[in-house]
Amino acid sequence: MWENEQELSGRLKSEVDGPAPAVRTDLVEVLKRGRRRLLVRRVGASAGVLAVVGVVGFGTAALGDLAAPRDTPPAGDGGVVTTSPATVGPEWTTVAQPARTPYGTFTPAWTAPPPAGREILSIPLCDPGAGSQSTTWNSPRPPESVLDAWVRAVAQVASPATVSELNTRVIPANKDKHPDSVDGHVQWLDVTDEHGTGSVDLKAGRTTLDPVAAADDEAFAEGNCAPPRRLVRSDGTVLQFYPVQASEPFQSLARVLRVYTPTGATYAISVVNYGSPDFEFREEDASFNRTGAGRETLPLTEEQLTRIGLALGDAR
Amino acid sequence: MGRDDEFSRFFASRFDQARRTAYALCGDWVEAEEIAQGAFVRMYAHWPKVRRESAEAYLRTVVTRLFLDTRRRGRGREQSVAAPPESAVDADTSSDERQPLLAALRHVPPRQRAVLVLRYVHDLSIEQVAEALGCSAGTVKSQAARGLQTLREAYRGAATPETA
Repeated sequence: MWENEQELSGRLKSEVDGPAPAVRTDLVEVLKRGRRRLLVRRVGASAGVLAVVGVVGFGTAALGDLAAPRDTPPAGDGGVVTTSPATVGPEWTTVAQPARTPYGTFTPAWTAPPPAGREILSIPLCDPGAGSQSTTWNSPRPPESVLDAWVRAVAQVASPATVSELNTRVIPANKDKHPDSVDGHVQWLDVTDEHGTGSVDLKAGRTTLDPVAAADDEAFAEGNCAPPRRLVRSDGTVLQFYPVQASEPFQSLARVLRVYTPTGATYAISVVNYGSPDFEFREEDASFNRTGAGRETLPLTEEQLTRIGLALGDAR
Repeated sequence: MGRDDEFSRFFASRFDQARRTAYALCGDWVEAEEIAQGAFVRMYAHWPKVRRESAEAYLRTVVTRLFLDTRRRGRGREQSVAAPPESAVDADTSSDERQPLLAALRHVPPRQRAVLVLRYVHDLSIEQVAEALGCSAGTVKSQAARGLQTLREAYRGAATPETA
């Protein structure tokens, strides 16, 4: 037994400074996670929520075999989800900005690797930058017309996959810490087929720029290295399609389509390879905890996501 | 010097220390590494606002609060770990015999344990511990007293083998 607190302190320090296993964490992994956390803090009302629902991810790659081929031109909807003539024969172009230099390649965290047997994807990671000064993604509740159109479109394009009822959660604003914060609204739909359950979520934002300028400003905001592809519709709405990204935990995949409207309303639709069975909402601190790895592939193709985006653009 | 350069230097010089603090708190090297890593990730996001002279104290606070958060959640590790990680610990580095005080410390409730680690491993004053844990000095004093009592009992129990 120790005689006094000084002796206790000395003995405790000695044991703490004793033999230890080799450090396994490397700086690259910490920087990668740190950048993602930074991005989440900047773009949304709740880091935990947005990270889990899949709005945020890093990396870019031609993961054509995960869903639709990368070069598949975004298709018209044939009137299935929208009747706008502007959606017929859209011309998609690659944004004329130079590709970014990767700072690393996606590597699953050793604390949360993908399930055994799942192929580890090698996806370059790029810095998402400091975030736009003109566009905020603080997740206000989308207008009912937009929400309804989004739900209908997902149900229509996902068939024959099963689509869940609308899931929603509200993350209360923290006015004490951030006086300008607003309640964050999170909404997602689970999509289930024979490969498992994934999901689609919708996030709203606002920009002070015109649609093309806003899209230019956020061309690399998803941490993508290659420039995104873009459709400018006749009414001025811009749809911007980002490459598939991968992020921790496990090997979480996300494909994002951002919609910039002439009114300043912005939306981000994300298809991710995990759904409600893979996370839980904690009421006590209004956050999500990821618990499962999800399915191996995304539940919707690029074409299906495009159709959802077009329907949403029509609905505002 | 850029954000990443400064942060990288801080990481290189402080990660092992943070991991050891986390180990004193949780008693498991794998979890300690997770906690330390999580603390640096959080620090990175706040790095421009972190004053360099107080960065170490900030790190210590984050490590401690992350540890307490996992204990409040009850099954924090299960939520973040997909599969049992391979062992990262040599057989003799976590031996109760080699580290009898740390072994006894695991019998102390988490918040009291955090007080003891900050107070006796990091030599923080009562007021500094109170600031790190976001509570009053009086609470720290009472938690320290109760924690020391539990630690003594646990240590005495470990040092006195039961007889048949």
